[in-house]
Amino acid sequence: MESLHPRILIVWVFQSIVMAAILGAIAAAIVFFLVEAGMWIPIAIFLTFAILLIVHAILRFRIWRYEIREDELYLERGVLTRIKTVVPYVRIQHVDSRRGPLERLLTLATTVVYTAGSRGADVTIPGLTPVRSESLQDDLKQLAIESEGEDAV
Amino acid sequence: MPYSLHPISVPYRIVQSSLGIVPMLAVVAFVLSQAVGFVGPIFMVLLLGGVGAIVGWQVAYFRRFEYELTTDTFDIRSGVISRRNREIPYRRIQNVDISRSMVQRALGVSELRIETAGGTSSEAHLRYVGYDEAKRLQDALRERERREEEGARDGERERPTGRTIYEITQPELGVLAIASFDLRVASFLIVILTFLGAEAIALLFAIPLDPVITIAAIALVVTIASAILSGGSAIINNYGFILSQVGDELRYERGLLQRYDGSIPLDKVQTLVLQENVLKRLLGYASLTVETAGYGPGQGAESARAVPLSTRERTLDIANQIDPAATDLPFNRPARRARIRYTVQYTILVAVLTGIAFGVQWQFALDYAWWAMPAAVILAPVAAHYKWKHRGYAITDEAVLTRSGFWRRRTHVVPYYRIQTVDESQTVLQRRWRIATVIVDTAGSSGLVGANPIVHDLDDEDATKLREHLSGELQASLIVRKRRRRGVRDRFVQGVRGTW
Repeated sequence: MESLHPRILIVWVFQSIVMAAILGAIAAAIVFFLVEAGMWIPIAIFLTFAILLIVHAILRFRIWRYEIREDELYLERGVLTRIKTVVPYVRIQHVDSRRGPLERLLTLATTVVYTAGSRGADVTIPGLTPVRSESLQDDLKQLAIESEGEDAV
Repeated sequence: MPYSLHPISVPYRIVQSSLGIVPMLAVVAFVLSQAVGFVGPIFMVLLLGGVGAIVGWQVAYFRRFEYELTTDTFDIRSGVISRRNREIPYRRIQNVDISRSMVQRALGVSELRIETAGGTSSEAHLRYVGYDEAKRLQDALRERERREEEGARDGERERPTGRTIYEITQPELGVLAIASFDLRVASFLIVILTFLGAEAIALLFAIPLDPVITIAAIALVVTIASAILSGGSAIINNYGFILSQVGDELRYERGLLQRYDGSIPLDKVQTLVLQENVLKRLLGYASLTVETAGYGPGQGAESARAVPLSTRERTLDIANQIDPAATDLPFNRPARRARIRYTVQYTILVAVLTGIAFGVQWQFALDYAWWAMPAAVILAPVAAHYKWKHRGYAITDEAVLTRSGFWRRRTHVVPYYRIQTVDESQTVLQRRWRIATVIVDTAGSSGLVGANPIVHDLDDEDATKLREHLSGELQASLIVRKRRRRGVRDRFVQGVRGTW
């Protein structure tokens, strides 16, 4: 079982702070324009959400695991709802390697695996080094070709 | 040799689009007339211009649309200004559907759609070809796909004769009308009623009767009206339903006003779904739908129907003919403690409803027996039991069967080799009860509306075992299929199969 690269925590913590800041800003706007109340409320909201979301991000990082098995890709993730997913290589339609601006800054990448499944729940593995992401993309592609299903549908 | 659409499609499409623009033109003419002061002439000018443009466009559309059956693809070249050449490999075709409205039936034309997996809308849409031509295409596409799969051995083979599997009878149509009763229609009617406005409602309550009787009367009328509407639409949609097997393909025909002819290749069937709502179960009937990967979101909920309604036994028998894995098995129920959890959930629901009932009487100063609400708690264990009873799964050598829903029970038959991914999911609360849910994803279309094959609330160890079993069986079934394609006996599978 492999875990994600620790640098992904920086991305998630950053996202948590941005999210908490947005909520805090909304609360500040409400306090400022609509309700006469102390400015400590938005600050408290910001801090509470920042702490909760950062704890969530840390737990998320500690729980995230994936494994390249013989016939399938196996993933475990989720803090509140724990999800264990099995993606057989025969079912892989295509594989993407993706890098957002923040990820590029931190030299990280995300691999996305697509199947023909109807739930639209395409499998995303974040927090990989670009080298790992590309080798994963190659491996999965190779494994998908070797497993030669009829037409994966 | 390239073919064109049916010539009648030109005037038909012209009339169709012209009718579409009339209301819009009327609005534009009215707005312009505010400035100028006369409506009639403006409207006539706009209408002539609009219809002229439509005539030109439709003639060009007709002249620049052609389709062709080549050796291995179905080609469509279309587009007036931006051209599109599309080639659909025969082997990738999932469904071929023909539909004819009343007018189209009178004109002898029909609309033909070809579905492949992937994409959100129909991959080919022929508007309109002659009905005979549409039937010919339906056969030709199937024949070519078969030939390609068997490696182009024998030349043009005789069209295999169809064998009728199921034909709806008058009594079944009647039962279907009753069993299709849908409370959602009732809620829709109530919404309309509220749109009629406060006056209408006030008028109703002005009748010198006890308001309770008035409410009961409204409820009765709404219920009867929705029964007539849902029953009527079920009859119109399924009148003259025939399911037959032609070669290795299922064909159905249905409809009173608008006729539908669809084809479902047997080797493209993803899952079978046995649908038995409460009414059907009480009357001993069931319906069957066949899912392929052909339809996009919101498409084909109705068109994938294989048996609109028949006795449970007969429906199961037909399902069994389509996929031998569809049999009536004893189902494994969710963990017993899940039933206790459901009781707890329903008890909480009653508490919330009691709170709302109290809030309403407190806010509006209405005097009614809100305090009787908590008595509903005695129903909680009953509801929990039925919810638990109608959930579960069964496994066979070839497939996994999943079931859920008391009011609208669905039983999915998923052959192992159709599994796409398997999820085992556990919420925080489920973790406390040590239960987990297993979701089986296929390329079928039902997952798009949130009705995936799903096994609720198993003991978490059983859930893990089931997940491992499913992924193991998928691999085993793929090996079997590969060997079978290579013409090797598939005896050895017994050894490959994981232990369950």
